[in-house]
Amino acid sequence: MASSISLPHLNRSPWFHLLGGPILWSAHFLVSYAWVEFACRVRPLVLDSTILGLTVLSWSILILTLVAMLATCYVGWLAYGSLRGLRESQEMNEQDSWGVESRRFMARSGILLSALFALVILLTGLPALVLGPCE
Amino acid sequence: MDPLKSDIPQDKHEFPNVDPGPPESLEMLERVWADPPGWRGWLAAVQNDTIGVRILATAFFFFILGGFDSLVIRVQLARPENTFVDAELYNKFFTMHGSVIMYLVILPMLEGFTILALPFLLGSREMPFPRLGVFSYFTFLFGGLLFYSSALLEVVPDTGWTAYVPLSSEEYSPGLPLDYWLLGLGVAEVGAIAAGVEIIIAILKMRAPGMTLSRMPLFAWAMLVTAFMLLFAFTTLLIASLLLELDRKHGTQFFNPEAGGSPILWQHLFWIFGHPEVYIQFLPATGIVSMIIPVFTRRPIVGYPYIAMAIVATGFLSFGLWAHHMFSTGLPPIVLTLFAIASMMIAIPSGVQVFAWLATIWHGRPVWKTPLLFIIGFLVLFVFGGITGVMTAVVPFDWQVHDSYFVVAHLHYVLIGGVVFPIFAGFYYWLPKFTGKLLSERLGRLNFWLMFIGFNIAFFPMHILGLMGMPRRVYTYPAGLGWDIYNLLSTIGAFILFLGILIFVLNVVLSIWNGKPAGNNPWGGDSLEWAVSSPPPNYGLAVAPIIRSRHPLWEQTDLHQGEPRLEAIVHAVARWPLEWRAALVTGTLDGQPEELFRVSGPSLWPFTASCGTILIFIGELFDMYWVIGLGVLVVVASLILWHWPEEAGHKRQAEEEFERTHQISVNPKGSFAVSRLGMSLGVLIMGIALVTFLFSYFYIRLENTVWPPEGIAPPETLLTITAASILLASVGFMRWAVKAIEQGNQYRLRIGLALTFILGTLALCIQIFDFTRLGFNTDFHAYGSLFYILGGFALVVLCGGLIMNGLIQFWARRGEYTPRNHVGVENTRLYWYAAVIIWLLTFATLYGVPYLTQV
Repeated sequence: MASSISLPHLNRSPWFHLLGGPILWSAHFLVSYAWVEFACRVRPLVLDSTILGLTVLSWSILILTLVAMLATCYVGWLAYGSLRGLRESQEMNEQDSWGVESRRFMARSGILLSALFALVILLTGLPALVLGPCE
Repeated sequence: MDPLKSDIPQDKHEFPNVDPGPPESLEMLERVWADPPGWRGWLAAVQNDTIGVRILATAFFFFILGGFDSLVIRVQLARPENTFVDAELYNKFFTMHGSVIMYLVILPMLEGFTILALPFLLGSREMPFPRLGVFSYFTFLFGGLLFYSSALLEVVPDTGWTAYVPLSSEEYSPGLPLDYWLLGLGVAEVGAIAAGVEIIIAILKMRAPGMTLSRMPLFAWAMLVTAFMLLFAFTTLLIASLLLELDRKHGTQFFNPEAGGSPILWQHLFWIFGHPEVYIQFLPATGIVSMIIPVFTRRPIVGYPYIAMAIVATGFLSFGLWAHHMFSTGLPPIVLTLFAIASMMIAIPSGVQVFAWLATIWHGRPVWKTPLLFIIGFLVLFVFGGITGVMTAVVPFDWQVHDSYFVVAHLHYVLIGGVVFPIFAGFYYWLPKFTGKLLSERLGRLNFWLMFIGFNIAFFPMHILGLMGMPRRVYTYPAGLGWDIYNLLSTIGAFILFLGILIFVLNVVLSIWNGKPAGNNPWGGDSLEWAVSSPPPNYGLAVAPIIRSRHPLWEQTDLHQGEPRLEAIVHAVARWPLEWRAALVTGTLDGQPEELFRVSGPSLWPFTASCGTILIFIGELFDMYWVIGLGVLVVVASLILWHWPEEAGHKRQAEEEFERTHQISVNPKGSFAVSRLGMSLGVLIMGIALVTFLFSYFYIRLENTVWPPEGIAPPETLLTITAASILLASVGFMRWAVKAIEQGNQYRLRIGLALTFILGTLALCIQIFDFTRLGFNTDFHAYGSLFYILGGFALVVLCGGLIMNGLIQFWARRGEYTPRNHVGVENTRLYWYAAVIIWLLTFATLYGVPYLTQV
């Protein structure tokens, strides 16, 4: 319904839909990198103990990966919700339709990027299942 | 008759109606948008086409020089045990070749294209900060000349384009050569960052009405992402260069492992710049490809949103690849896989683009003109280079071919095939628009085939050489290793390639001298630059277009048709104001007109600011501190005069009437939206600098088991907490001042600004006093070097805030600010908040980490 869409209110969300996935990937990537560099140099003993055949350090990377991946999927889901909401908003003049068209474009692109980056996050974390983190 | 007319499908014959504009306005428009005559006018010129052509010509000049260096390299390697140049000279040639092409050729060429073509592509009159474009050009020119002047003094750098430490340290590379490398290129880097800011704002805020993000030309998408990458990558490089220069000449210890520093930190910082740099060059090239393919296949591009998103994804992923240049430095296995997988994943968005282009060609009717030939050449070579790229992303394979000719082959396939071929396609495609003359097709084909064949003969054998074990950067090799024939072939290929490039120069000269007239739209193009005459008038389209399609020239019947309010605005702007350079600002998302503002005009101050910048770098190079001081003075004075408010030249009533009639604000003293976005980007650059400093701090902290080093006590915190608290209090007064001007209270504005200034100065003095009591210096350990560089950064940023505050107080006293227009005050507030946050993070790190991380 056109009346339920408050355009100024949506102003910031298109950018979030578009860039949320890539930004979460960047955060996951940098945190994983910094965490492993730190853990492998300082080597606190607790991180070397094993649970179910994997070190605590490996588990921490896997859990971080899972959280980041789910968060990225959630951004994609929000973008999908926004796209559906925007599809329902018909009946407007051409100028208003430009803003809606842009938001649709951003939402659709957000879904694509979230899917890609969820995959990249997953693949980035998986080696922790098979490789010893520090040597 | 258009040379391609017969190739254009029937339904594309009818290009839309373009309003030439009211005849009485054209003369005024021409006058107000023209650059002044004479040599002063030459230095003050700001027109985007003037600046764009200058950047392109300068970059091409450096291209010929850098290409010549490569020929010397190839002659030396043509046969075993050759003595054409000795080892020392050879090192200089490959260093110059790599550095010039990476810093002074490819990126500036793409920036030149952008500044030249972007306003026309977006249907706008100008770039948002024409004076920043001029500053960017002159810093690039001066930086390049400073760098090349090393050859005249015979102090040419010889450590490769990566300048790895410790080879590049004062101990192993004494004297001026490395300083030339760091400082000459440093000036050019400042220019690149300035161009990045301008390009972002042009694309986000200065598109034609109706050109939403989903209708923007793909070249603009590519440049938007690239410009953001420029800010991140080049700021990091600038700081890395600063740290190395400080190590070399001022005794700091950032990269010295004997005093707590780390040479690997240089590699990290360099490649955080260096790998994105490859994509900074590649993405604009893909933008050119996405513009040319539809025109020469006579159909809209397939998968526009997929291509746009692939560009965004590539931009992000390119920052997650830096350590794949460091696989052999002994990183932990999980870190290796992190970077290896990101390096493989970047093939996905690149692949998406390649398939979208192939699908467009597949579904279209290709017209085999020179630009399309170069694009097909690009597709073949880039896919080849991309595949060897994925191969080197595999860690064990990379260990085998690291530092071998395989890598040299890979990077040239990507950079020449993936970037230089599209640049040549772009030259053939766009030059007729800006010279008004067509290039010869026959010479164009010869140019393409010589380059394509020469390139493959030159670089394909290098894959084999690399796999046979030939290391890169060796000045000669013994006979009998089976390398001779491949090296000879490579040399022959390089000469054929260079001949191809000379044919291009010949083609351009002949075209300018005696070329056929190009007409408005020689290729039957779909984007807005083809709607203006060739060469285009300074103001672009007299009447702004209203965009309702991704391919306006193919799919619209009238370029100015739209809703009545919009039609009224675009026609009104062609009539008023004609006293100053007026440009429209449109909404980032919806492309609605928001504002009519004054774009700055010709001025000598950007030129003097670049002179000041080069003086700072020259002073550092020759240890003449008074020259540095003079440079700083010139820069500060130029910046103040550059931004001095100008009078509108008409009455306020006329503005109010325009605002009432058309419901958009008129700002002859500069745009709200544009200057706010400019300041936000400035703050972003400071944030990137802070993150780079903090990364260096924590990286070196991890390298040291004891922190602070033995014999040094952790710093006392009382004074720094006092300074930070005073600074926090100043934030309240700054807020109060802005609220005051919003309510029209000039007196409270001035009081608030003055109190902020006093508190800021007090905090600064307390912190400087605390620095004098620290009891250690920059040169005894990396701890001390980091302490002063990070602290110094926060102090300098705060000083910037105090200078801005002082200027705003001066203008507030002159009554420049009103409740409606006080963007200067708001910008100062934004800067001040950022400066305070940087201050707090910096000193929390410097004074907190020694306590928090004690073992």
